[in-house]
Amino acid sequence: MIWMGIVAVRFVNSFVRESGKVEHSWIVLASVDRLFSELQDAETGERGYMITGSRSFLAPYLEAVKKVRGQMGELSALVSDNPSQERRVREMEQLVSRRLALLENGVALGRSAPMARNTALITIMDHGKAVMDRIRQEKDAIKSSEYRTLRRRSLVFLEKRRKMLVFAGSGFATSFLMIGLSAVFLSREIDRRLRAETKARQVADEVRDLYDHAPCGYHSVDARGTILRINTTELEWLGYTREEIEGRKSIFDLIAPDSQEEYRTAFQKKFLGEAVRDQRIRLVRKNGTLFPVLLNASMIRGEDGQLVASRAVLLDLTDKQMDEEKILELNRVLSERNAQLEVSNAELEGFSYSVSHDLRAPLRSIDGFSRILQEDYSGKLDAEAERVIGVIRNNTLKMSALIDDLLAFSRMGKKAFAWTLVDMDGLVREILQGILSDRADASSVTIDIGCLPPVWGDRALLAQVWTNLLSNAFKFSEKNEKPVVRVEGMAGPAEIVYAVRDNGVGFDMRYYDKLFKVFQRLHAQADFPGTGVGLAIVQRVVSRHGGRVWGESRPGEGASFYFSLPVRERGGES
Amino acid sequence: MVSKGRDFRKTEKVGAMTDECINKVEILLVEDNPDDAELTQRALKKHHFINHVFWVKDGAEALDFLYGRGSFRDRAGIAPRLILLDFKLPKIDGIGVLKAIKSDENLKHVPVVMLTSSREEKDLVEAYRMGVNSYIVKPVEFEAFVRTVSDIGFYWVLTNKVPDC
Repeated sequence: MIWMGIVAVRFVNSFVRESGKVEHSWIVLASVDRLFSELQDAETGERGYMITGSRSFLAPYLEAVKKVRGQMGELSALVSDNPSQERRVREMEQLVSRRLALLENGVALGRSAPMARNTALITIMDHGKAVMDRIRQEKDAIKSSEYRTLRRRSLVFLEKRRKMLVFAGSGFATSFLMIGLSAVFLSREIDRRLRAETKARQVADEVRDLYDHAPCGYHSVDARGTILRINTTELEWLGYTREEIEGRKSIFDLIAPDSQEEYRTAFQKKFLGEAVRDQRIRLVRKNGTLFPVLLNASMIRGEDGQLVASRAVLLDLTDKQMDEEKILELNRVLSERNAQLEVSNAELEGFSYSVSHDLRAPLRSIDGFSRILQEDYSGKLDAEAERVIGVIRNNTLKMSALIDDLLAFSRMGKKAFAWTLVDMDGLVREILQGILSDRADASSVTIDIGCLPPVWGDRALLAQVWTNLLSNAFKFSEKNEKPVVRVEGMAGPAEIVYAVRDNGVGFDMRYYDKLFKVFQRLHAQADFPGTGVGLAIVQRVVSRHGGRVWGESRPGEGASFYFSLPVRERGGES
Repeated sequence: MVSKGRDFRKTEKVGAMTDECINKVEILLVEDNPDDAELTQRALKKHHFINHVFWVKDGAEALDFLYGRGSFRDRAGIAPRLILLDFKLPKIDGIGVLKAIKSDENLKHVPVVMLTSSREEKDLVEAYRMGVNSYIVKPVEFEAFVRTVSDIGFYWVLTNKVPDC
């Protein structure tokens, strides 16, 4: 706009300048004509006087001459801006001077004797005409030059005028455009503000709604404790209507007697600028009953920065307190049970320790002294006595084996887990090697090892599982002419199932429920020796890993035992 | 040598030993169970160690013997060549005796073999932590027991070398 203003002023200035130049040309033209006409007037006066000698012609003549001189000066001044015109005008001025001189000669002649005049008169008149003709020529030259200037100036002027019109037109157009745009922007801005106002109103409504119906209580109090505002939730807790509270009740009316002192202290601190965090107090309902709340409060400052009011958030702790009490009760029971468990665990540990140490010592004595009896009285004992001693010693060793297995079984339940990713294939091969070196008959057994995926577990405990299952497989298939033991694993998405199969004597599924129980056996001791702890240990270890054990068989058709272990990302009992 | 059928338990009682004998002790047996002690000695006898075995019934007695205190006041302080130590003992238990021996500059070189019924892992760990030289679980079966005990005696007394002092 400023630019347009500057341009407009420049346009107007140049327009005025150009129109002045045009006008100037017109003035020059008029001045030339006037000069010429004055000169003619002077000539007319001179002629009249010259011919008649009447003085009545002399006055107009003198008048015209004066005007001619004035006009000449004026013209000279007018063309001073144009050198070529100035040159012509100077020429003209000389001619005019000569003409005026001739006119003066003529006037002088008019004073002389009439008869003497004729010849001189003709000469002067001829002379005068010639000068006058040249003046006319000069006048025409000046005029035509000035007309050319005028035409040029007119063209420039017209061009300026056209440009100015165009500029003015575009100025108008721009202004209209800007006014239009302003109007659009303005209406948009108004729209936007209206929308923002609506939005703000909606937000305010929403905030009000949230404030009122939040699951916690809100209230604001002034420095004296008068409740300025309270939300619907808290009103419902207290059993009052809004009108009964806002501006009427003091917060101290709502605090239970046993919380008054605590609250008052916090309240005073609060108005000294200290925030209230997680204060547990009790409030009084309209019906006089009490309930616990958790109070948090912040301060509101006035325009002068003074603390003028407090805004509080309250949580109803009724349920939580009940929950807490329940949890406390449960915890108490739990720690009681834990203590009992610890005691019985300690007892059990002591028990297994004394089993390990104290039960074995007498067995050693029984066996040892039976042997001493045999050694020291070898000649005095008959065959029956030897047999009886044999039975004693045999049972002693059996009991020792039972104790060892029982201890092993108890250890399986106690041992702390050492989680690793167990290479089951390597583990099985290692164990098979041990069994093969222990059993003389094992070389006749066909062993078939399938895919055994690795699994997270305790390597030592899993070794016990494999040892027991594989030993069983060897033991129960030893009476087959071509014993076959097959080991394999099947990885599923959640668990890996491992299987040990043999083509041994198998077992009757009717007694399946006894299979994994401690000291339970499905075969006669004479056929297959054992304590009946092996599978119980297997089950204990596998279930401690979070897996399952099962088996299937038919008498005389071999047996298959399976155990599954959960697929884990890493170690840890789940 | 103890003849067949004699109650040799009595013959090995402290008082029955001469001063000469007591200073020649090569093996100190610390065992509270007299039956086990008898069986152990019988096993050692098979390798003719019997005259050089001295038996005490608890930890306190063992330390008195080693330090020449109490009823062993007259004993010259010559350390035995081997100590067979039970784990569970009255008064001062096996670990206590072991600790005393291994923290004594004059005794720490004496080999101590823990001879016990307990195969509890924590007992084993504890014994080795205290510097036991060997830890043997007594087999219940007599032949195995005899073999084990005589192996121990053979190795630690006859094969193993300790500095003379």
